Amino acid sequence: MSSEHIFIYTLVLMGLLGLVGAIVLYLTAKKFKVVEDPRIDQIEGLLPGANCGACGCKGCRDFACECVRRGNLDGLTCPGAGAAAMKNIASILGVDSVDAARNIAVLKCNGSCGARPLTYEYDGASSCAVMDAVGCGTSACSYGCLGCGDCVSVCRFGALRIDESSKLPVVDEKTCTGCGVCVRECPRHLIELRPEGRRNRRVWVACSSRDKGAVARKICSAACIGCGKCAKVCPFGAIEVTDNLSYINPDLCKACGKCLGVCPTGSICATFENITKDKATE
Amino acid sequence: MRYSFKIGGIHPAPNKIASRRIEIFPLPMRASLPLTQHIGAPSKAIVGKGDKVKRGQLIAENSSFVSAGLHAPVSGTVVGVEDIVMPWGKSSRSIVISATEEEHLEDSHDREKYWCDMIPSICDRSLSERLTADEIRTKILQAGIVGLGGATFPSHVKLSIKPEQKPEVLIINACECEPYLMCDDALMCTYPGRIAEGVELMMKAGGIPRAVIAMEDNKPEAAAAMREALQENKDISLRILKTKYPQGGEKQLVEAVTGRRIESGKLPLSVGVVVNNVATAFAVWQAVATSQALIERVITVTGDIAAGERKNYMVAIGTPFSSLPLTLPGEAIAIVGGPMMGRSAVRLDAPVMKGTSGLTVLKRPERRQPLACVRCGACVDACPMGLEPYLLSTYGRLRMWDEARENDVFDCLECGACSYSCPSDRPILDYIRVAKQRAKL
Repeated sequence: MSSEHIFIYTLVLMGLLGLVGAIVLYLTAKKFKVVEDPRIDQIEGLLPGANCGACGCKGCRDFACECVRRGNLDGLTCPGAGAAAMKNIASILGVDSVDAARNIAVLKCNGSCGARPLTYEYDGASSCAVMDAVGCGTSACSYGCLGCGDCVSVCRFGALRIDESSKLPVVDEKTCTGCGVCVRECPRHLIELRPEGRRNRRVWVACSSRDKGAVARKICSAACIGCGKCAKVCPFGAIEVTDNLSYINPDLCKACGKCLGVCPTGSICATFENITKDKATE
Repeated sequence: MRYSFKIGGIHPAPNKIASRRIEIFPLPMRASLPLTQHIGAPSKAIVGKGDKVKRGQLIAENSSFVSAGLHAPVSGTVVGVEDIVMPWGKSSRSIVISATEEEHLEDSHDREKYWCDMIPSICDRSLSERLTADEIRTKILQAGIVGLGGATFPSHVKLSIKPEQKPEVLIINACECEPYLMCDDALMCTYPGRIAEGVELMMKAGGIPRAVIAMEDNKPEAAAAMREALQENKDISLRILKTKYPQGGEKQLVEAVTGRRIESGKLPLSVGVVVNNVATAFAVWQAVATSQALIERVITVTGDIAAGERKNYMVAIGTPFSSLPLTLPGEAIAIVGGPMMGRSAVRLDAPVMKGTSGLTVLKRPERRQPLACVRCGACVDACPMGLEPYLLSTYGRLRMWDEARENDVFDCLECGACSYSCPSDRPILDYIRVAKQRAKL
């Protein structure tokens, strides 16, 4: 048998085998075809793909399936996708879009290096969870930020970073989606999701210390001492002091900024310029 | 043949260098008593600011069945119920009592008399024959006794055993496998007869027919003292175990003494065993025979660098560590408890608590940077529970709580054998502890 024959036989044989295989595959694909709603793929395309779990589903694909299965958006929101994407998803499903307020993470601790002297040494594993399990951290405050950046490492959107000078995490307002993964991660529960607020104006108490005023002040110069001045000055009754700690209710707060001026320790933070006492009275 | 548990275990240097004498340490002028000194619901304070209290008076009561009462260790005036910083830096709600000079003198006199009158070696069996099980349990409950080995589980709960649970043997844990600590050793050398009586009372209270006092073979003096005290007694035997850490772990001890293994998540009672610490037995005797509540305990002050004298002290609960005679050089670290399971102390103005077994002062170790895990399996060999510590630690680090749960993370007793044996100095236990905390949610 010459080499030409071998070549031709091989070609024919392999071609036939390929043909049989193709027919089998074609028939199998026909027989076991799964009809999937094309909207699932469309919706998934609009989602951020971070699989953060903020919606309560197992991931972005699961969220898309759930949307299509229910046929409406009741109780289903993806904070990561944003309002515009949610509107598009609603239009794909043919339902009215629900306006959900955008939430942004804020840190309820302002104990930067300058405000809170480091009193203890810690040479264990660099993780807030480990640090919290063995003691109180490097400062005397047993409520404040530990600064190892567990929140930074879990953020899927890169919206958190540790500030070099203050050693506290900083939230990037633009990229934060309010998914809440960092809220669950922080061993000291220092991160809170607060509504974005009108014209991006937000006011919050940047302290979580429940120590008595004198003790808290000794440990950290930026601590809330529970004096209640802010609660007195608030015209909307949005501020309440419990356990030596003030809390601003975001539903009642109108972000007027009056509390900022009266706080003796500067533990109230805002996203806008502080109105000084004089200006407020003028 | 020496008995021991089978799987894992390590052999750290025992360093039992403190003296075996128990010195009665003076009462403090000011005592702070955290309301959470035991496992279970915190006690409820029944005194307020300005109240006068007597030594031994109940100042906080049980808030539920699994809880324990608190008694005033000194006579004086309640300064307040306030947050006191614990040795590791976190604060805890506590009752603070301040004594005047006269009250202090009177208390000290009473206390001196109490300890001088105690005849250490004779074992009097009439007490346990005279009282009923319920009476003994009530006395234990009223005295606020908790497990003094460190876990601080309320003793009256442990001894509330129904007959259908079939308790067969009471194991008295006198292993003291933790390096440096010697408080149980000292107690056994000093009051062996009283301990034996306490064990009898516990057997009666729980309806347990037999008891075994188990200790490691590095305590020959204590063994001799206990053997002498138990001469007349057929129901209580002594069992000498191999010196191996963690021989005093509950499940390890049950295996070493009876050869029975406790299933994951089960209590020793599931195999007919009740485990109690030897210091608890002494406290039970004190409560029943002398009606003294748990207001003082033995602690060991020891370490490897100049820390005053290495001694055992009988101290009142609520005494601040800073009043103990020890100087802390700059290169030292203080640990509440022993070096294996103790917690690093940053505040020595914190009080001694019911579960405090000692204060260890060590030279600050040079912490090497953790290297990569080389999969050598040293931690797997060392784990006394037969777990895979390197794996659980990785799950803890990567936040894989479900996987950690599936791999029995809750079986971990946090003995630290894994971190001790790791050639790469990895903080294995730290992350397992995180996984244990988070996997619960």
